[in-house]
Amino acid sequence: MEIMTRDFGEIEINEEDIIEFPQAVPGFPEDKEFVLFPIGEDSPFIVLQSVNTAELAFITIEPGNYLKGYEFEISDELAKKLKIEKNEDLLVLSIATIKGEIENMTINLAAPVIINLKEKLGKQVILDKEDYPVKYRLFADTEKELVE
Amino acid sequence: MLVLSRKEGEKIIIDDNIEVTVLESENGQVQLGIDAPKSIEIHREEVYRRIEEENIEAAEGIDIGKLADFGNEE
Repeated sequence: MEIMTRDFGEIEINEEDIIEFPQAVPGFPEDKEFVLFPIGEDSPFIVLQSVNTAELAFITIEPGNYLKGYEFEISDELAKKLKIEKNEDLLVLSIATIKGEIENMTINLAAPVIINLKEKLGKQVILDKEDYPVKYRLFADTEKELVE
Repeated sequence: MLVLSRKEGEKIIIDDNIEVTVLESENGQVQLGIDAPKSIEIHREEVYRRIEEENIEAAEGIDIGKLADFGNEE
């Protein structure tokens, strides 16, 4: 099927690639279906595009590639909601906020998007951990402080 | 909005399986105890709103060409 995207015009997707977000994401309660695709071959950025709303898309990255100390527990309830059997099926993404220069982008470590790729189920999880900021500057010039 | 008055130690019950107890009330601060099934998510409002706001900000359009180039330079 074809869908309209915010940044890439019309694209062809397979229906089985649609990831369902049964609880949507905070701020956008109507959008429960998304697809993922990389921005380009070598780009670390992944687009999380709403299937039903062309204008709704998030730029995301895999925080684990940048922040070694970033970890959190998957609760039994979350495992149940996302039908998680093993952690290898999971993709963890952080939503990026980009204002002005790309170097100044921040990523949201307080509420990662967790996707079970096998079951095609996703959820943005609000971690109740005060040490993970909503705005973490990814490409800070200063020595990167590892969140622990 | 439904408005109920409760004293310390009194509860309200929501939908058969959620119990909210007023544990303590002092100087404008109210301590609540919540018993709910684990599938019910409970957040302080300001925490939830902060995530909502950040999502809305993150979903504002960006210069995708610039971003694609940026990735390739890295």
